[in-house]
Amino acid sequence: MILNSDKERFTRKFKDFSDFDTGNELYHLLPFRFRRIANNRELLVNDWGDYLLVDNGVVDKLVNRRLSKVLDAEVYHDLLANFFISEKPVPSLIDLISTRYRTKKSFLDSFTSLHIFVISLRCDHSCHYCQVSRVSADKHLYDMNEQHIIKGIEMMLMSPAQHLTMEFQGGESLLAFEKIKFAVQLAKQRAEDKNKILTFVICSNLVPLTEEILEFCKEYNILISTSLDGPSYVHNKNRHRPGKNSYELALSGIFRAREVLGEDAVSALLTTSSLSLQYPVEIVDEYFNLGFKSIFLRPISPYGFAVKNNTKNYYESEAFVEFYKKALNRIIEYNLNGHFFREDYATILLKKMVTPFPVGYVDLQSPAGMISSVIVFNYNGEIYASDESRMLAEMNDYTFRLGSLDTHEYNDIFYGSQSKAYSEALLNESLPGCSDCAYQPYCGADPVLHHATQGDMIGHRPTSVFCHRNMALFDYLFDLMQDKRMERIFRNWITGTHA
Amino acid sequence: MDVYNNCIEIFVPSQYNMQVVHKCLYWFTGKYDIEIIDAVNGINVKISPLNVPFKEDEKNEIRIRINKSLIDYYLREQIQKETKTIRELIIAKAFSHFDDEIIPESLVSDPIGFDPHKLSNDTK
Ligand code: SF4
Repeated sequence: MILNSDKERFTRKFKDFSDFDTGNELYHLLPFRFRRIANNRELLVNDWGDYLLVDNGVVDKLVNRRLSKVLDAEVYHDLLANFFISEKPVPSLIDLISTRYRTKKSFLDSFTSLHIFVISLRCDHSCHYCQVSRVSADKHLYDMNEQHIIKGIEMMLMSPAQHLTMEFQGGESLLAFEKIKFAVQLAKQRAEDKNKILTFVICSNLVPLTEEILEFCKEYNILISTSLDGPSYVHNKNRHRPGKNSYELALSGIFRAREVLGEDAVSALLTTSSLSLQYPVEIVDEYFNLGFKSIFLRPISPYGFAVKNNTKNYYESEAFVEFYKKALNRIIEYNLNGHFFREDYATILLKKMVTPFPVGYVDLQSPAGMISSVIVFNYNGEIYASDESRMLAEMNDYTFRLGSLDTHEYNDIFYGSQSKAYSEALLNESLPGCSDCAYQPYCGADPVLHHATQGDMIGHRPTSVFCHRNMALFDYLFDLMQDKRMERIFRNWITGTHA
Repeated sequence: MDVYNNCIEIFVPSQYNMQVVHKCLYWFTGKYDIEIIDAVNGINVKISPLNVPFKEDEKNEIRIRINKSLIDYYLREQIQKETKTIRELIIAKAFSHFDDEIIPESLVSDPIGFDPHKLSNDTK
């Protein structure tokens, strides 16, 4: 080891404050945004996502150069250490700051990884919030044909991403199990040739589940994602099927799948409906009692009949936030009683707030995750920018249709004029409202939702359900985090450990 | 509805530029109709609720909220102006493809006790 003869450098003791005093009170601001939050606090968030909570008035003092290095020593050094100010015009650690910024955007490095194959539109359910499925036995009309499956796989494997996820959706995907079998076997073989790592996911209501299907899933390590809307009196009302037994069949499917594939291979997703809003505690209890370690409280999807009714959507968004807070409080209660049970949406937000890493969640990315993180191959060979885009198409809105597997090549889809046309709505850094918002580094853009609800991809933030919901949830989480017990629980959720 | 009673006027002094005023008032456009009119030494803003009568206490509350928000947007503008160059530099560095190893010029000594400058020279 090479040692320095300068004695000063050997000491590990902290230096005195005066050692760092440059003799003047000048400092330089680094890029950050701020917001006033509860308890008379100001929240400062810099461009790379570090945050600092300070007392009201600090930002004013800071900007107007009334913050003293001596009199406000504690907050001054917090600001300095967390890169909100610098004592040099260009901070000494600018490379570190740039690396932090790059890391936050590193979800862009791998490009599109999630590939959704809408393998069939057929379904035995007629859920009132679903616009896409067809209660029809016509396989030829509503199942993906083999040519489209082959072309879809080829296009998927052209992605620069090393890790790819191939997700089968419907309708009810398992009604076309033979097609899934064909697709999985072909994709696995082709992925091995190209040295790609593939994860398979089947989204299903589990009604058509058989032993043969489970054995196949086991052989190919396929994950199962199902729908569970809560207790039977919510689930069966949301998810209609002949026999009114969707809940009972989903539960039996979950247990059988867990037995064969293992607990971790089976997850359930909640779709919140207007009815669900009345049962936050009951829904959380249902998931907990069924042995799930987490629950994803997904917001009400506005891709229903009332999609362009902005006032109704906004009202439902307010009701959802109330529902969410009650449900989250119940989940926290379980954690305070010593259980590990987390809420997935909060975990995504928290990871963005307290870790330097990005989170691969397409709805909360800037640039938005459509195309660059997810792509959808529809049952008829058409290609869409996201799952919600193909739902819009079922309502005769083809704004986000990128082309077809029959007529378009990889470059036409991913770098073509159609995908470029969305670009100005993809970055929340430059969107009205967002560009000044403290939550911008944690939030997303979601042009599809804004187009669907407001008729404009850029959107109007003061009436946006997306903005309203996320702002309310960020506020609530920052509020909760001021309690040390909550902070500990949230850190367990982020790391996935139970301390 | 009495149109004259259903509207308030706020005078914004010229120290707030138009961009600050726009950014501030943007957040009120979900519930209010906003009219911005140039005036001597500042800007006049007319505010009325969309399709509902203006309640008296709401009028006062809106005035206070707008005045507070103007100050905040003024501060935000200062921050943005001052940090524009360093923000561009950080982003440019983050996405540049150069792989130059730059030794940080810093007063902070290495915490485990050796000089990074010397180490990098001696090991070359
Ligand atoms: S959508 Fe709303 S909460 Fe999210 S960054 Fe934009 S203004 Fe902020």
